[in-house]
Amino acid sequence: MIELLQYQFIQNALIAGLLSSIACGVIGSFVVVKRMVSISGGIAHASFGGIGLGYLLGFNPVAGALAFSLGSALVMGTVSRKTRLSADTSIGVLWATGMAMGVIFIGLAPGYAPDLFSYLFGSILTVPRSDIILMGIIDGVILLVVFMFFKEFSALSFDEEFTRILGVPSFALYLVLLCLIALTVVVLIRAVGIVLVIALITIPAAIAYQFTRSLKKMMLAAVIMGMLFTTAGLWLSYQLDIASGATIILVSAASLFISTGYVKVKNRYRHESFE
Amino acid sequence: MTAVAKLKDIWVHYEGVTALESVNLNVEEKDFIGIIGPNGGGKSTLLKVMLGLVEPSKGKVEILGLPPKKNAHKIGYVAQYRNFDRNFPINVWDVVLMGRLRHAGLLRGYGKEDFKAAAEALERVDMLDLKNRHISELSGGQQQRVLIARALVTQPKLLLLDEPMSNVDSAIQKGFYDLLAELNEQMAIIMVSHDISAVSLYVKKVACLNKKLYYHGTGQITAEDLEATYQCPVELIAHGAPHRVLREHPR
Repeated sequence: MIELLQYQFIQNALIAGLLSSIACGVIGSFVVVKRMVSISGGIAHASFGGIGLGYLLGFNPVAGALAFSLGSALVMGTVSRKTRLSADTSIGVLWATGMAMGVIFIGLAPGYAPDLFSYLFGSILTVPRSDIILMGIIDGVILLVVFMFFKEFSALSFDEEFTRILGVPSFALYLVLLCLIALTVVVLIRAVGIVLVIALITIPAAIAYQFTRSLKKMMLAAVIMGMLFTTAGLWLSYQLDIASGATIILVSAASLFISTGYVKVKNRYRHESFE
Repeated sequence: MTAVAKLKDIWVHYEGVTALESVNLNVEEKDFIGIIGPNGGGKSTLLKVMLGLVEPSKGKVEILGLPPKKNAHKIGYVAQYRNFDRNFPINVWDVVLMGRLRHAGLLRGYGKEDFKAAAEALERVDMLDLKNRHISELSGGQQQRVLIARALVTQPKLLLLDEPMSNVDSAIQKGFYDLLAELNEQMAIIMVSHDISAVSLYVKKVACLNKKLYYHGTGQITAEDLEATYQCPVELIAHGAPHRVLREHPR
């Protein structure tokens, strides 16, 4: 393990994993408690349109992903709150529309798009330094905004109707929260890819949800767990020579499975000891 | 003196269905109004109109002299269904503090004044010693008390309660009504319920709502009112104490 760290690409991969875990743990906690998992999936997939556009017009696909994920977050949030269509419907429509646009744009782009697969399923081992810097900046933005509006985001997640009655600008805050999800998606695209993003946002937070009693502790626990999973997944994928993004997800999912089982057994034991 | 709440000729249509029909209501200081009526009669809608959550198709609402959009935050509200997840990672104290969200202001944490208000509100509902409990560790009645504390934390002039007893054990309901009577010394209360007998025992005024509001401004409901509301004969049972709401009737 130690000699592996000498390689620049392994260092980059580890840093990318750690930076991803910060965004995931903090925003994933809101996603889990406010049940925004499918809207996050929609935002992630819609961003594929931006990647395609980047290829077509020759700019950095990650920048395209950023624009498309933010745009789709705003549209889904607005449609779900201000029209009679349900959030569910708008998510489904934008999810597929974004993917479809990506496919068309890439088809129109001259030549063959070689690392398309890496955007869909991640390629943490080839993350360039420039992307790491971008991930670091986005992490900073996410942490700053969450710090600024923590009490509003918590209230919004706990009981949105109540925040509306209080006259707090809950719709605007909801859109800001969705934009933070969009930023998280962009951070994660390099590490695990569009298709797998949702698992890394959800799983560490879902495990933390079972063991913590305050939102702040939940976030902290989710960040730490994300760091463990990305590092362990990376190491395992290197040892077994298998896809790293997918390995990170499977390590996380296995941990969720085990922790859920543990909670079940513990609760049963507790009930029995009462009787 | 401005009325606490004033509703004038309120109509609400939901997707072609009329939920409220020409509702007029005046709420004055220290009123305690029970609103009864069948399910789907518009009880929750009426409260939501006052809170500015539902925009009436026609009519005028004033809360302390201003439209709900401007003044709804001065109302304390306890919703019928718990809108939240019981396992949400939050304790009693933080739930109650949430009521101070607007007072604390954007980009600022909760301050001394907010902590003081939260402690007082919890004290009033007798829950201060459980302030560090996680909400999943509370009984239905205790959760309801916490939600009332959250509503009280802004020192409202009007408290709206939507079916407040639905999650409360009947054994401790009396204690609950005693609490409401105590709160009523400082604020007007509107309580929506389908439980006619319970409402009639504790409130000062009763109104029946089934799209239209049958409101008398006195404590008496007549069999005719109830029949008009429910559109079927209703048997009235008169309770003696503490004050008579239903008139006496032959057995």
